[in-house]
Amino acid sequence: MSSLLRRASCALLLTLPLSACYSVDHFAGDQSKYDGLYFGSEGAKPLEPALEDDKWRHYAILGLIPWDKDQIEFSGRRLAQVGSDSKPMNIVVESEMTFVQGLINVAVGFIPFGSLIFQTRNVEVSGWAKQ
Amino acid sequence: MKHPILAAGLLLLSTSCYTMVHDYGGSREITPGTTLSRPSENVGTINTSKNAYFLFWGLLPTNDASGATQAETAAIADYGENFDGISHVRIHEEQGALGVIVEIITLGIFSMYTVESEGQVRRFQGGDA
Repeated sequence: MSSLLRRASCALLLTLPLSACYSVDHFAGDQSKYDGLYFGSEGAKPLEPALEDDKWRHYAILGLIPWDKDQIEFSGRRLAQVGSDSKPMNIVVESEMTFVQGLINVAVGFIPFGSLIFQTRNVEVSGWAKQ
Repeated sequence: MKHPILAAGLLLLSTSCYTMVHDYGGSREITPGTTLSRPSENVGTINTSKNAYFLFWGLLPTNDASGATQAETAAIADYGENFDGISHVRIHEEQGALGVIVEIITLGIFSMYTVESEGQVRRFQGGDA
């Protein structure tokens, strides 16, 4: 049993340099569906946000493994739903850990192995309509 | 006496840690899509990464980590000013092993993330750069 634990520890240590925690990809996948979406407003005065949305993304093993594969394409997919009439848009993507999520992450840490099972972060997206 | 406490509570609730904002304030067309607003030709590609540093458990970001701005900066460095936009922009964020180790050693006072950007540098057909 101790040999098995040693091997598992070694494997974990060897994979550590290759690991990435809390990783998130914005605008992955088929990028043709993001045609017409722009960062910046091209000098246009933004009227109002055409879309403001956020999504919690959850991870296991201290951020090493995302719980939800859907989070990878979240930013682009949600912005693409705004529609073509309001293009171009001033895309802003913000990833963060909110105060509430910080509290949850700390609280989960008090549960045995809690932090290994669950950690949470947030992605917020907004797109502005052109005047 | 209750108002300052309430205000402090509300302020605390509105705070966030490890915030990375991907926006762009320049005049070029930076898009995750495959085309620019006008017909354009591919000049080259960029693939760049930058570290985002935070102090005090992620509360205080010390530098701008916008992946979109970073893409333009990398394109200027590689291709000069002779381009009109960047298409196929993808942004990837992560905290690498080194970042995790540094954060553990400093007890969260200092932390480090990586923002990677890639895309195709494009110029409008007709040479309008």
